[in-house]
Amino acid sequence: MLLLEQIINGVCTGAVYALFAVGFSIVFSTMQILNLAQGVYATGAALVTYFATSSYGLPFWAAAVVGIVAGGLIAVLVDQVAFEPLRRRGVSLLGAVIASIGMWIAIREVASISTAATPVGYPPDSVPRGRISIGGLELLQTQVLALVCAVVVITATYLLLHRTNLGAAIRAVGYDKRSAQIAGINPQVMIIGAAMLSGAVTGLAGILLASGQSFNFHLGDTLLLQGFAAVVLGGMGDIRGAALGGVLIGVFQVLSGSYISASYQDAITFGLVLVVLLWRPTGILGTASFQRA
Amino acid sequence: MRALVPHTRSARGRRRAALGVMAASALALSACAQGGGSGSGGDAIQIGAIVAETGPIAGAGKTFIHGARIAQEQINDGDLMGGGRQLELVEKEGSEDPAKSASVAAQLAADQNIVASTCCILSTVAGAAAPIAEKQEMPLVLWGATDLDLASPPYVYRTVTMPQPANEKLATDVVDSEDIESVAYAVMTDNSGIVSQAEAFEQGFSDAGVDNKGQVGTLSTTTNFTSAATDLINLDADAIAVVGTQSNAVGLIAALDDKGYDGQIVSGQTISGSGVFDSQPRALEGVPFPVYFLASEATGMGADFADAYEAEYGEEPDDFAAQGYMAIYTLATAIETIDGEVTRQSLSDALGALEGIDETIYGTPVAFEDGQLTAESAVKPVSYTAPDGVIAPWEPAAN
Repeated sequence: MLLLEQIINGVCTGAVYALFAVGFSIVFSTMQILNLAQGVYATGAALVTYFATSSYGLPFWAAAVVGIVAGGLIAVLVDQVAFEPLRRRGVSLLGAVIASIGMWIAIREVASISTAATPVGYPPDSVPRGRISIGGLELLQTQVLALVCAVVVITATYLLLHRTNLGAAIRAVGYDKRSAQIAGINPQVMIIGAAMLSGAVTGLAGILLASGQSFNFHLGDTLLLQGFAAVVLGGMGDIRGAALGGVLIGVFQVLSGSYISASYQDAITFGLVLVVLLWRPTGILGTASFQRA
Repeated sequence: MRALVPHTRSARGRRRAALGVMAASALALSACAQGGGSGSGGDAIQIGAIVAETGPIAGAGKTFIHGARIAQEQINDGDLMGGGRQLELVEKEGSEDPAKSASVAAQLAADQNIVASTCCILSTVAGAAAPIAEKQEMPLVLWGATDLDLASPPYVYRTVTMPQPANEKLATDVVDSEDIESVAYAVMTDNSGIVSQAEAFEQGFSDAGVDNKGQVGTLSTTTNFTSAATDLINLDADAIAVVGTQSNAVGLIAALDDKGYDGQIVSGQTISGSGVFDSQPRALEGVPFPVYFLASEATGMGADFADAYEAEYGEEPDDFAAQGYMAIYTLATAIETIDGEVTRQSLSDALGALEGIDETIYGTPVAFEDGQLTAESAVKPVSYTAPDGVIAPWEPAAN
């Protein structure tokens, strides 16, 4: 029973990683940017949700929507301030990585100032914090919430990108910006749309992660490594792969921490990622190389 | 159009004279600075402070320097060092980052007017700054790093009241007050200071005859504590000692609360601090943790400190603020014993000769042995009280 409970814990933890990884993957597949500022979208969304509940008295659900929109807007801001000038000049992947590090540090400092660098948490009773009993297993409502949100949002994002004209246009810009432009697609609008979508999904991951604990302006930093590993494990640029990678990382982490040693859980988890990459260098579901989505 | 005019003899002479005056001034200033001392000629005695008002633990960092500033004011106003000598804090931001703090420590050491420095909340940062102080032969007073064996006279001293003896005493107090026969430990295993704090809890519970049900590890990078809480509850212990850095310990206590653990949770001093209670009020209420300084119980010098701090910063000083205060107060106490010029060497000698301080903000005398301040008799078990999160003496549930 303990094993089953820990697997469920791992899947629920992995659901948050999966959401983050999907946000990460959207940016990479449409803009070919390894965005290290992705974590601050999660932090920003969680903090906006916190301020909306604690300072303005909004119910958690409404505050979460505000937070998700804020996550999207931060992503658009980062894209337009840091990445768009580089795109215009045709700067390489490395330039974008460096620009993203700059935005990461700058926005994190704003987050630090806004909270006076102290831990914060959603007000008591604003977030569903009870337990749900299913067949002798006790799950937390926050875990169920994370799982349901991940399934719904990742499915919707996949359908949006693969079953709609808008998604086809976004993917077309990712494949070849110039050809997409010739076909009548406005690349700038699609890139802003992709950034908004990426920031919103990542922001949701941050809000869910923060819902069961106190957090500070570092919240997104802790997600960045797990999210990046999930994308690499599942396959760069593939939404399904990123989601699968996130869940696997969550389960690996929990089981290795619980049954082997917490001290080595990161080493074990990322060692397994390395093994998978030696077997499939493009990730489990990936078909593209690192340089090209 | 500007005409080209050759330099006249008088113009050249004035320039040479000016250069001569500047060179002489620089030489004089340099000569004054050579001694690395201050305080004997009416100049303020300069103490460098590597602060952390930004960075990952700025919340705690601000509290340390706030306490230090209050100490500076009270020392100067009360002429504690005697002879009208005044203390000046030279603050530089280190963000509690090892590389940045080491660089700042080197800058402070290069300034010969500064006779000592104080710093460091994290042991890794102390580990980076201490070798610079030793190499430059400048006294360094650590106000917060709690890893074992960091004090290293004659140049590195530590005034932080250590959490290890406090944890050991808390374990004994909790067993005396509650019906506890078994205990499990939650330990953040990738921080040696935290591990040694957990060992102190183990020692205290073991000495009280409590059965050890096992340990569950977490890491500083842990993002979700539900899994660790599940393992801990599965150990079926009467009590769980949660030992981690602030966010780690609070996250795990919240997860235990969410999972419905109904035993006794105890934790370390790390769960105190501005804003912590408001982030998880339900989970933190009634969880005992040890402190050395409790503003609401302070008397005499401690009450004066608490009043001045509250007037200046609008909140009660906590243990971290008290540690910032004690770093400066200990330096001032050592300076008071120096008759002549206060230099790095004379201050190092004075700190080395200091055996204790009779009157402190802790309300009890403190010992100063092998470069380490100890105040074990001042340890108090406290907890947050609802609804405002006021820290008060811990009331066992059995009462």
